[in-house]
Amino acid sequence: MSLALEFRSVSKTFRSKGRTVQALRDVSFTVSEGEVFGFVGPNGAGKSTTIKVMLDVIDDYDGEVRLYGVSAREAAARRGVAYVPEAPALYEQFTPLEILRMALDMYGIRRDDREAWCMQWLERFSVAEYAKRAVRQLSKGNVQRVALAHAMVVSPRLLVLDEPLSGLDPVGRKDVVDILANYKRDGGAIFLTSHVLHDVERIADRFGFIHRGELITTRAPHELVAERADRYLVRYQAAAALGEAASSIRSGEFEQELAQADLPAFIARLQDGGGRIVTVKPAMSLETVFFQVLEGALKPVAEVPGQG
Amino acid sequence: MPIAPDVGVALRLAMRARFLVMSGWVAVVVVIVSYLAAQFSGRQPATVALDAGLSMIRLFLPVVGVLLLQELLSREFDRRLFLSSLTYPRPRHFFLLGRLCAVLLLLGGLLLVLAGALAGVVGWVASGYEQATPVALGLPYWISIAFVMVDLFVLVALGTLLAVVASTPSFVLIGTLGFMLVARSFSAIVALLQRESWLVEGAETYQSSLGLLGFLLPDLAALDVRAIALYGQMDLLPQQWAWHLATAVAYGVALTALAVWALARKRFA
Repeated sequence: MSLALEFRSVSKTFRSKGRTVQALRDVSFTVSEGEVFGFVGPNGAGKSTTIKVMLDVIDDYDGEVRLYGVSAREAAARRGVAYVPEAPALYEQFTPLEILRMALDMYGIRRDDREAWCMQWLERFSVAEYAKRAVRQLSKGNVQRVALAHAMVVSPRLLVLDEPLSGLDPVGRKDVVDILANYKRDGGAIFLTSHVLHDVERIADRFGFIHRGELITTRAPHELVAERADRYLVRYQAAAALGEAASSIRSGEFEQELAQADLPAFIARLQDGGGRIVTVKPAMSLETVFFQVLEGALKPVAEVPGQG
Repeated sequence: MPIAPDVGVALRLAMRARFLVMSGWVAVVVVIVSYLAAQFSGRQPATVALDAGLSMIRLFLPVVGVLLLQELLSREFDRRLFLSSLTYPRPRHFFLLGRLCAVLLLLGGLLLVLAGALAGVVGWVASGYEQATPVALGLPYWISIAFVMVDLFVLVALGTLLAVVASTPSFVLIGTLGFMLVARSFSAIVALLQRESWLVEGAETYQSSLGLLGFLLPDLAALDVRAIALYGQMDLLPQQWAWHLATAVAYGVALTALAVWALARKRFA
């Protein structure tokens, strides 16, 4: 499978208030065609800088970035790449329909069914009813949907999404995740950053954890599970915690990590005491890894370039 | 034309920024001022009307141009809209040249409309009173309008450069209008100091400083050739008009190239 995106030893420094800030430190990773790569990290970790380097908004960096084999420093590299920034950068004087038509023009895409094609995408993002209303009159969630439609209308091979689910209500998030899942099923590649770890977990094939400009590790979901396959996180209701390792969620509800072998005995004990299980899920979730990365619990594992 | 989509977007943005309303008001002011000016001259009303109208055009169009640049460029950077516009698969200079072309097209169109309206007013005033030296609303008039367009090109090119490098939109307005003031007046000041050196103490010092400016600034005053239309005499066209025109165009092109270079090197945080 060919590579959609390659970062090779990319470093970037900024000058801020008289001091040098290392925004990216020797970052290397790859995203294959048809792969969804979730980029996770706290605020200021370097996620947005990574995207700006990828899209040549920032071009004074060390290292090499390629999009479908073409240097990211060339405009042609962005052919077939669509981007949705965290705060949608749309002309608020324009209508959603005009914005989608503009995107087709900017990508040099000619279609006989231009109008119908644009309307189709507005419909898929449930904003067709606002097609001829100025963007400034739309809610934040609908603006986000228009921005996503603006990206999808050009039939991109690689979608670059910076916090694509922020500003959306739960229904909107589900709709967008479903559309992205369809896009992925059709062979599209996605690079996305998000704080909504649950949603990233649902659609990403691999995750990259970045912290202070350094790519700490990349993991695939099956690797996460394999790491601690025998550990489970049990949430239960009881009069009192069953063991010192339990943490209190709220009054009468607790959470505790257990080995698979200990589960039957624990459940029996809980039921004997009049308690009940709320949830049982694998202990190693994306969220767990995220916080472990932040705490420095994971050893840095550098990805070998080209072995995405 | 590869920048056609960029020009199209810029034209639509300008229209949404009430360009037509702004243009309408400018046209009303030009017509009223030129008509009222005619009322102050008993012997040469058409000449005075034309003179005042051309002054209004030369004053207002750069302001309209700067406001358009603020809307189409400064606002783009200020509101981080470049995160979309500069991430399309197009070179950065397409974006800039598209904006510049749109502003020049709009200003050119507005200039033609204003020139037509002014010619109408002046023609109407002239029809009521036969002057000893009639105005020339034919070729001489349109030549002077063409020179105004070149003057606008230089100012818009400078405004474009300032919009790319400045961090505050107001600097584009102040910088461009300040430049306009100096570039349109310094050659007249030099001539005055040479002719009547008794006006200021140490006129030679001023002359040498202003002479240096002559190498740095285009002489936009030389592009004001309205006398040929005011008095209907083509021999009032400066002998070096082709040189003035060529240097102004070259200056405008150089400023545009500098703006393209500055945008290519602009660092976006």
